[in-house]
Order: sequence, then structure tokens, then C-alpha cells
Amino acid sequence: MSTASWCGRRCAGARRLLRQHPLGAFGLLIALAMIALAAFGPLISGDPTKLSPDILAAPGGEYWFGTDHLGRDYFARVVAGARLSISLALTAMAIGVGIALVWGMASAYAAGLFDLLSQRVLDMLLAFPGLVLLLLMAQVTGRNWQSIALGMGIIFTMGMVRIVRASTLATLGATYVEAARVIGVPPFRILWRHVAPNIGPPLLVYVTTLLGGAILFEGALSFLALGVPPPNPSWGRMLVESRDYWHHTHLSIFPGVAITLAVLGFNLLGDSLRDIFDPRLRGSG
Amino acid sequence: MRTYVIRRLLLVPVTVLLLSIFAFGLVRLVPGSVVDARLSNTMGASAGADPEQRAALEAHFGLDKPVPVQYVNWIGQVFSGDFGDSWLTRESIMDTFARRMLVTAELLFLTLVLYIPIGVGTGIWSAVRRNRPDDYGIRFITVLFLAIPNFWLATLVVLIPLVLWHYALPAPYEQLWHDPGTNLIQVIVPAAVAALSGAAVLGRLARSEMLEVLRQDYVRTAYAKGVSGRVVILRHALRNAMIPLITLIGLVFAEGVAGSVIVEQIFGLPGMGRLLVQSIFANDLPVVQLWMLFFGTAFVLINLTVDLSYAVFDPRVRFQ
Repeated sequence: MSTASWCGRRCAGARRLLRQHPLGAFGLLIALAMIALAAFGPLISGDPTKLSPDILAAPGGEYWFGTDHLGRDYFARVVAGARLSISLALTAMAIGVGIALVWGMASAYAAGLFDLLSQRVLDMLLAFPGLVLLLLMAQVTGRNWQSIALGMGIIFTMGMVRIVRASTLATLGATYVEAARVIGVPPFRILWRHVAPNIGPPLLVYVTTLLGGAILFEGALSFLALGVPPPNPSWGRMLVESRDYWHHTHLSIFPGVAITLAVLGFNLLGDSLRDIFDPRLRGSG
Repeated sequence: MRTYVIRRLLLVPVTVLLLSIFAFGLVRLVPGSVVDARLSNTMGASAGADPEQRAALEAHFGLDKPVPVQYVNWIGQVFSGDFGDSWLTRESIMDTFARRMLVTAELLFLTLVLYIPIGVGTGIWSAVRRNRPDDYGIRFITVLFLAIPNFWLATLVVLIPLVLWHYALPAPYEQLWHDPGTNLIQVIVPAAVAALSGAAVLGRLARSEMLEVLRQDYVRTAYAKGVSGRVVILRHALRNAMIPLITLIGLVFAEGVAGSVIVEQIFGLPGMGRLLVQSIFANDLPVVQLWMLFFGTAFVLINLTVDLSYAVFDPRVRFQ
């Protein structure tokens, strides 16, 4: 019975999502599938770095996606690329959100000179294309997984700080926050109980759309040979390597389709979340 | 209006100063130095340990002084018009930039010529025909092009003619005044790739701006008093939708530069984007920091122009 009521509420929600935002539901499906592939895919697809004598085999049969120039199973490499891409994107977002919450709330709450200076710094950094900053960051922090996650997190935090700051300022001006202050609620409790819940929705929308951007950035970085070094499979580097074996078209198609699908999923999901959480835009989709 | 302009103008030197500190600081954080590279390159691995040679090279590049002194020296030189030499090629950076900027300027120009009409045009078309089949078609293509990475698109543009017709773009790069025909083919294809990826972003923003305007009371009034749909859209809505689109010029330019970094690399164009990637690889710090300062200042000035022209076109901004 408890199962029925559990599903009753949730299934109704799922049905509504499917009816009102079919593209968002589709995006959610792709995003979840990609995350599942990244988490559990390597368990079934085998070792992406194992060499075999079957060099540049066509897709089908034993090798679903064929093999590359070293005879490595291309399906296993695409799956391992998903793990790299998705885990980097999610970690970068977690870092970015963490920094943005502290920085943005502090900036809005402290106001004054600190706020002014941090706004100028953000203005300057946001004027740069993210990819250019990321290229430099990658060179500074090094070319391993942790450093690139940190670099991407720092790049992505800049837009988030803006959103956190704006939402914090808007909430701090509300009458109920004033009332809380008057009755003597300490600042941290105000930030946690009143401000943070209001930051959630706009930040969630922004982060979902950025996840697609993070996957594209990781691809571009490996494409320029500034990403996580070999032999770790990465979609971007698989595309670069495919150019030397251009007559084996499967090498350049599978990684490209994988990136496109992953980005498409997160973008569609982000668009629908925006429609759901931003009432101003409701009905304009 | 005047105070707004003055305030915006006063912020420019502050931002550029921050920018120069940022460019200088970030580049200093890069591990490894040109001295290591020089020592191991020119004298073999054994000579790298010789402290005297190391000290001489460090003095030569000015690396023996404290970092703030290095910064002041650098800024002083830049202001006196001396941009220094590349550590890698030992060529004057000014000459390198001048030569490479021509390539990138041509690429950026062609990109924007394709990018802006495609982006704005499809966006407005899609908003006007909202929820009709052509709107769905445009939105589907837009969402798809937002997800297709420009480096994959570029790879496919190179591969497909190669596989199907054994056709490859002419190489190596020809200069515009040398061989205009070849040069145009070599630049227009990368420009089209960069433009298609960027136009999707622009098209979405243009669509939502246009939808916002179409919801306004004056549009409804115009319809209500019997003005034909064509006139409402062209005269009332489009003109007002263009104003917020001005603010996107900064974004368009930044996207264009980011796109040029990728496509110059793939199509082998010797422009500024490729220079950045090569210099980052070679740890050529003077080139990288000047690149950042150069494009950073360009972005700041473009954003300034955008903000000021926005204030001219939209009176609401002036009186804030």
C-alpha cells in the first residue's frame, strides 16, 4: 500500500513532466542514461586500453563500435570517455557551486568595497571566452584529472557567483528577512534558512545548462591536446586521433555522436527546468 | 547620461589594470620556465645543471628580479610601445601579432558576416512563426547545433569530402594578396563552421528577445487598430527587438574568438588563436600575456561601446 501511494504521487509528477515538457523528459532520460553509462558502463564494456591484433576493425560482431588503430575496443573507449567527461563535468560543477555559494553570499552580505572589487574582477573575467581561460588554467594547474576539474570549476563559478549574489540581494531585501533580523536571528541562520532556498532553483537551472558546456569544454581541451593525457580515453582526443585514419569513418563518428547526445540531454533538461522555475518565461517556450 | 558615460569611461583603466595584473599573474603561475627549456634544448641535458649558465639566462630574460619588479618593467615597456620579443622564435611580438592578426581578422570578419544574419534571421523568423512547423524545425536545428561541438563539425567538414570525393582543402595556407581564390576557400570553410556553431546561440537569444517584444502592449495595440501583420512585425516589433540584440555584440565577438582558436587549429590557419595554443605549449610567456592583454582590452572596449550605444538607443538605461 505504501508502494502504491509512493508511486501515486511520483508517477503523477512524472506523467505531468512527460505531458508538459516532453523534450525535458527526453533530456532527463538521456542525462540519466549518460550518468548511468559513466558509472556502470565500464563494468560491462571491458578494458578500454587492452590492445588486440584486430586493428581498425569495422563496427559489428565482437566489437560493437569496431576497434581503433591499436586494436582497442572502441565501444569500451567511448564508454570510458563518458566516464571521464561526465565525472569531470559533475565534479567541476560541485566545485563551482561550492565557491559560488560562499563568494556570492559573502559579496552580497558584506557589500561595500569587497563587493565592488569582486564585481570588477568578475566583469573582467567574464569578458573572456571561457575556453581561452580554460586553456591557460589547464596549463597552470597541470594536465591531470583533478587539476582540470578544479580549473573548470573556477571558470564556471564566475557566472554562478553573479546568480547567487543577485538572488541573495533580492532575498535580503524581502520583508520576512527583515522580520527575521528584527527578532534577532543570527546572520548564518538567515543565510541558511531564508537565502539558500531561494538561490536553489535559478542555480539549478544554470548548472544544468553549464553541464553541457562543461562536456564541450572537456572535449575541446582534449582535442587541443591539453586535456587528461593518454592512455585515458577522452572523446576529444579520440576525434583528433581519428583524423589520421579518416578512411575508417567509425572512428570519427562514435565519439562525436556521444558528445552531441550528452550535451543535447543536459541542454534539453536545462531548458525545461528554466520553464518550470522561471514563471516570467512560462508559456513563451 | 553624462554621469553614466563618465562613470563607464573611468572604469575602463581600472579594468585594464586588473586585466594586466591578471594576465601577468596567471602566466607566472605556469610551472616550468623558458630557462629549463632553453638549457635542455640547446645544450643537452647535462648542461641544465650548470648554475652559472642558468643565472645568466635568468638575467637575460629578467627572471632574476622579484615578480612585482618584473610586472612594473613589463607594463612600462608595453606603455612605451615596446612589446618585447617571443622567447621561442625571438621575433618581435608586435611583428608576429601584426602578421597573425591579418589572418584572424579575415576569419573573424567572414565568420561574423555569416554568423549574425543566420543567427538573428532564424531567431526572428522562429519567434514570428511561433509554434508553427517552421518554428519547430528551426528550434530543432538550433538545439542540435548547440550540442554539436565545433571541433567535431570541423572534423566532419574535413572528412566527408575526403571520404566521398577524395577532395581536401588546399594546403598550405596562402596569403590573401598572394592567391585570393585559394585563400578564400581556405578561410570561408572554417568561418562557416565557426558561424554555424555560434549562430545557434545567437538565434535562441534573438528568438526570446523577439517573443518578449511581441508580448508588449504596443504590439497588441497595433494589431487591434488594424495594422497589417507585416507592418507590425517589421516596423513595431523588429525595431524594438534589435535594441537588446545590441548587447549581444560583445558575446558574438567573444564567441568568434573562442571559435577561431579551435578552427584555426583544425584548418591550419596561422592566426592569433593558433598562436595562443602554440605559445601555451611552448611556455612562451611574453606572447601569452600580451595575447591576454590585447584581447582582454578589446573585449573591454567592445563591451564599453555596446553599453554606451545601448544607452543611446534605449532611454530607460540613461535615467537609471
